[in-house]
Amino acid sequence: MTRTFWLAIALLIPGCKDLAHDNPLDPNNPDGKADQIVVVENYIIKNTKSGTVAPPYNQYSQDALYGLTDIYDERMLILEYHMIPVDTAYQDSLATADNEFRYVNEYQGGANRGFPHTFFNGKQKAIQGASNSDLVRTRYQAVLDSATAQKVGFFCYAEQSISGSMLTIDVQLVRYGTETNLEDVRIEYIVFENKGGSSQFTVRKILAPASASLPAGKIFEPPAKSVDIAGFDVSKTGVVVMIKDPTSKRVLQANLAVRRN
Amino acid sequence: MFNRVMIVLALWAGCDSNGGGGCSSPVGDDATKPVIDEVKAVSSTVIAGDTTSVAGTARDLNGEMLDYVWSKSAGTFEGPLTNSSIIWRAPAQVGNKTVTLVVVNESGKSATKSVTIMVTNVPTPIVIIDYPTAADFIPSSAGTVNIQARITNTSDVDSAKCFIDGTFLAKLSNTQNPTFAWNVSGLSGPHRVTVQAWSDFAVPGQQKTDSAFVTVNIEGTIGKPVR
Repeated sequence: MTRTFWLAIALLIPGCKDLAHDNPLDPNNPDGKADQIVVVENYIIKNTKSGTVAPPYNQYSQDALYGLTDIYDERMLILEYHMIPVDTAYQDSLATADNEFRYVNEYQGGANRGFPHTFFNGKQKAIQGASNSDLVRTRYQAVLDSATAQKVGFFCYAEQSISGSMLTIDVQLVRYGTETNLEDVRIEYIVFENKGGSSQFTVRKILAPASASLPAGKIFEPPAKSVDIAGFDVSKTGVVVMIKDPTSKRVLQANLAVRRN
Repeated sequence: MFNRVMIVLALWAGCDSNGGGGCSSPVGDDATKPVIDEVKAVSSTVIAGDTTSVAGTARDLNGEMLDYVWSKSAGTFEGPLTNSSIIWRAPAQVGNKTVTLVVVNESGKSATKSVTIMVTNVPTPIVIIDYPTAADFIPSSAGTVNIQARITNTSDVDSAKCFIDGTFLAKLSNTQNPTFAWNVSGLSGPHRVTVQAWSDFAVPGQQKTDSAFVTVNIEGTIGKPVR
């Protein structure tokens, strides 16, 4: 018995040593790189005012992005921020002041106000306007091909759980051991709802961001975030978590929260 | 005076029309002949149809008064022809042309000297559109876009015009770096931007011109109301 026990231990020890560290949540993953997930933040106006018809530029943009979801699948996360029209000829019933604030303070920069205004992984790469779906799709695809081909030195994992009208988000950030420490990043939480049709990624709530520093070779877990989503269709509500450089406004990594319940 | 002019005309008729090289000096004592030190054009190369000033420096060894008589192988003179300098307008034909000065003193003695002036074609302007560049995407929210062009190969630009899809937009004169303001608000789709320039040329109907175009895409946006 004793002999058999020690033999088994002797066999197990080298086996443990050779365990593959290919889990993206393993900070000792020897690959040290994760796929870059690209957040496409599309600032749009969809006219909901009866009796007026807006030019279809925003629809062109949305059609183009929706048509690309099959190509990039989980590597691309779309968020649609509905904006308040300056032109009183139009209205957008899904527009929010939070969306306005985010556009003006985080993304617009020196650009003139005009929608669609589409940002790829933050402020640095943007395409404004659309004159037809095919052309703008080609432009989007060129950006996405390049962005999704990147690898980054950390991984973001998020889960969402719902209790009553409260949505709670838990996040784990993994900075691989082969990288240097990542200081002073911002974690942003964007709640969206699939309202069907051409409103499948409608941003409903923008949570207060959190700050973090990611030591190499460690998993960082910020405190869970909760938000009241009363009135939302729970089954169609999701959360995108993105890690952003607060200075350049570049999205470093992101992910869609996995539904826990 | 009349006699001196007649003498000069008689002498001139015997000269080679291509210049002073083949023109012999009058027979007589050299000491009594006037001397032409120099005949010089302000511009040794002149664009066809353009003008230059030609001046002669002459003296008489005996202190006699001098008459100036000018002739040319081509082109025309403008203004008075009895002074020590004249204005010569180049012909439309290119090549070497000569302007000849004959000076005659009171004794009827003369001297002759010529200057050769090269007549060149008016250079054809070359238009380059620096902005926007071909296939640029410009959001209509940009509002007013400055179309920036350069006109090279000539320093004499008469005018430049800009057209959008063949429709006149604006005209600018006397600039090699024209900038045209184009309001793209409310536009969407491809548009052709053309800039055409004309060189400054005095001979009517012989202006040289060039044009360049780029096709750009205006990407429609909903923003501020279009005025």
